Amino acid sequence: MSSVGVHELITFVAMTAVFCGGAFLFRLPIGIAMAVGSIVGAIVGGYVFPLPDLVRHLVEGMFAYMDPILIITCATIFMFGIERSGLLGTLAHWTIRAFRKRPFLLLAALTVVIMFPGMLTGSSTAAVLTTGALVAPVLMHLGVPRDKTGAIIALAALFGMAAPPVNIPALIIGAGVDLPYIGLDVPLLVFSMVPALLSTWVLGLPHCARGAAAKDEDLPKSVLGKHGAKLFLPIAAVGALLVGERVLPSVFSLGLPLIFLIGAALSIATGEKFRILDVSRDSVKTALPILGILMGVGMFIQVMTLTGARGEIVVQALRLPRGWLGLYPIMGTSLPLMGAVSSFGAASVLGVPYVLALPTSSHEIIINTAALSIIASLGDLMPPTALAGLFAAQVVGEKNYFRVLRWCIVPGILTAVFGLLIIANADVVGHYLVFLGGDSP
Amino acid sequence: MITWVYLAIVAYVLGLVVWNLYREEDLGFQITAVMVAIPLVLRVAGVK
Amino acid sequence: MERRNRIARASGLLAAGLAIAAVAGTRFVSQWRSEPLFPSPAMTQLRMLSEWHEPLEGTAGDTEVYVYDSGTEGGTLLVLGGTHPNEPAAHVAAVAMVENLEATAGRVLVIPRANRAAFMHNDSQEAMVQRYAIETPHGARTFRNGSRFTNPVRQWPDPTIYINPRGEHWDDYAAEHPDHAEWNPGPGGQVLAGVDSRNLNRVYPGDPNGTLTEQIGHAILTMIREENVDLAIDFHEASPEYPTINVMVAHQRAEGIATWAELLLSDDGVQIATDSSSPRLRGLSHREWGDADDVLSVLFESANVSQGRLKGRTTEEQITEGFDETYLRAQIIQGQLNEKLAARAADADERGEEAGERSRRILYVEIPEEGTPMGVRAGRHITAAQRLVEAYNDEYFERPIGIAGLPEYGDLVRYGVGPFLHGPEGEPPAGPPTEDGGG
Repeated sequence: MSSVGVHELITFVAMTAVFCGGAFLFRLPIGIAMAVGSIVGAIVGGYVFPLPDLVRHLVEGMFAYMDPILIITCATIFMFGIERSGLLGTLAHWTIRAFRKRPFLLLAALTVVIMFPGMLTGSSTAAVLTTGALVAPVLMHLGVPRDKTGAIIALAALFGMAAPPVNIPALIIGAGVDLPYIGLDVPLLVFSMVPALLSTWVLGLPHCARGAAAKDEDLPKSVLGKHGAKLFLPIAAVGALLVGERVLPSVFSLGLPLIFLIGAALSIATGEKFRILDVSRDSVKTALPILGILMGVGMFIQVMTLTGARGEIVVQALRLPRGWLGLYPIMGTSLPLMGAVSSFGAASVLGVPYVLALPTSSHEIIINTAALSIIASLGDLMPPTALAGLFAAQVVGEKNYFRVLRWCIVPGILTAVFGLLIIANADVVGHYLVFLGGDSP
Repeated sequence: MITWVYLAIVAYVLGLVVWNLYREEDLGFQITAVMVAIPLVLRVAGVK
Repeated sequence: MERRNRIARASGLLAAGLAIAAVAGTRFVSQWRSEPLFPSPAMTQLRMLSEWHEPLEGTAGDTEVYVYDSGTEGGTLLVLGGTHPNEPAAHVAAVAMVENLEATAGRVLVIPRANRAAFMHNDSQEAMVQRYAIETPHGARTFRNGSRFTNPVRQWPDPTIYINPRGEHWDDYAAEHPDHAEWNPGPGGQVLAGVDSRNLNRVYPGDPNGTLTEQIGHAILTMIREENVDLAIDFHEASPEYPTINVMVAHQRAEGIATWAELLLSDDGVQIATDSSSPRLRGLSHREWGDADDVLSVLFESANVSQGRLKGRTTEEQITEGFDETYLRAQIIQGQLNEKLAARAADADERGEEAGERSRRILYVEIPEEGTPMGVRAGRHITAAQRLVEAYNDEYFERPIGIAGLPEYGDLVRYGVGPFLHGPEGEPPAGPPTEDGGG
């Protein structure tokens, strides 16, 4: 028996080719191109009949993204709401006036602000669409170009999602190897904070000189005088509910979609007037292509699993020895690539076997899980989904999200290398960063 | 209780998706809207 | 485009979408109906889990408890199958017990579908078959292949992260047993991914006012306490790349009998190891049952390719025959890799350098060319349960448990599980074929 599954790989190549052809030659919307690729995969794999079963598989695959659909839609409604109420512009106005002389500090503070919702929710989308949207006008008025602003937001949101206390890829990997969620906080904080700050400074600092000279009249308009402090209620409420969800989960278990809708509802009554139905409709219109991509990806993965292509890829990814000429580059590329589908999916399907392929002493397994979760998070920058990049482009008003993503390439690669360096030296890093105190979980 | 709130959210999103389906002219957009509507319909109906 | 045309096209597309939803929905709903089980004549009572926690009555979480009372004094055994319905041999082993069991001392309770609400659906993107057939001499019996998690139609939404509950009995039990403090450091509070709020084997000790899954967990633990269960076994399967496999995971107080059972099982030709339940991993049956009650709790794992990350093309044979080509390839790759690693290590040793990786396990069980059929996997569970009861009886002879009527391991390996199940219409099990070739 051969060690390569030919039929499985042919199926995968056929699906991918049809998807690429559909998307790039025929200019199909990406979600539809993925759906067509999935159907072709099922044909090549021999799973067309019975037809109702194939339909069942295609629809079942979409359900992995049921919760993301709601999170994305509700976060978009919230973002549009606080923009129309004047809250976004007002916040940008006052932040710039307070900090424009100290760009180094300002950029560091803004990075943490963008990261914050991601840290609490484990979702880069939530970070981009909330504090990312707040920070975007500030950065642009400081003089950072639109595309680089998008990149800063996408990267900070991504590292926020990877930062403690909630890093869902790490939770998923941990669950797959029976690793309790203990001792991960410090490594995750270090591994996410370092690249987050560095990328913001490198992308942002060179441009901040011009912003320092901006006149007050050019700043986004403040409506604080007109509406008073109640203008900030939506963002304060959303912040409080997010923190509450983490600190007192038994009381505040509302979930992200509901929290964002509460914020959106508050924005109706606390600032400039707008019609919530129009905002909701426009939000869904904006988010629909992305939701469509998620549906397409859902079908694609289901068919990959169905036809054995997913298993074959995982098996082939494990065939090399550890090291810089072996397993490490495979990990560094396959995790983000699979993350194009979903960084959570990549963590589960590839992250778990990778952790088991690395040393598993109590310190090293924690370091490796943390590092792999950061690398898996990079998947949120990988097209076609590139959730972080897509929404960041939207937040800064950039039509072509590749213009945002190109500034993420170098930071992304460096982060992957950073993660692999940590893995290669997990024993040393673990000695300094892992604290396993008492046994209480 | 929270389940009913979430089913209401799904129904709201579904309504907005269908509203957009009827407002847009672009066929690709319309097909995408229908794709997104399928799981929403099945969740609201309590099937999946 | 003209308004009328636009509306017509949108309506047409919507109708097509609804048709697709209807086709898929019909398949989904087809999985809701429970398959019939045919308990052995020795069953004395059919009870429902809701009898130990009334609010479960009429919900998707209520499930059958098959009671076998010998009528003589003795201990009580509880056997759980179907905690994770994507682990089919754990379900089928419990079903085979229900359909053959006889209690000769004390009582036996069997719950073959512990999380019935997880049999109703499959996990997205795992591309599972919905059901599989097991051939009996009377025709094929069909069983549902479900999910690791409660159906979200019955429990939704999930929290962002799930923190498992503290439970109401831990404090009392810990106060009564200060000598257990070393391995019983504290209750609940395990931080888990949100989806695990629907994983029955992460929600123990459960919560009477909690989610559906937590209520099922609470009901099972309440049953253990109220029925004075002495020995409780939770059947599971694991993917071949998962390190905890072909083992009995035993609560500290049950380690003695599990180790003794391990020895007895080696006489049967069943290689199985005993693992100690980790006090740091909360929410699991072997941990929480034993930390809240005197029960001796043990969890069994057999190897199942159909739930693995490395699985190949979806087939029914993955479940019934345990056969999967991609896992075989993984085993070949593991062999090739280890040859390479050994050669590199030898070179490095010769030069006096550090060798680094010397070997790697991609799989934690051997994958036989012909697969690991249902008979073998269910047979491991059934036989291990019998030996564990023997080991228990040696130590706790004042509360004996007697079980009989169960198929022999050798017969299950040779003939599969089919001859030991009732037929599709309830025909009694045919048993192993006789020497002259008859049924």
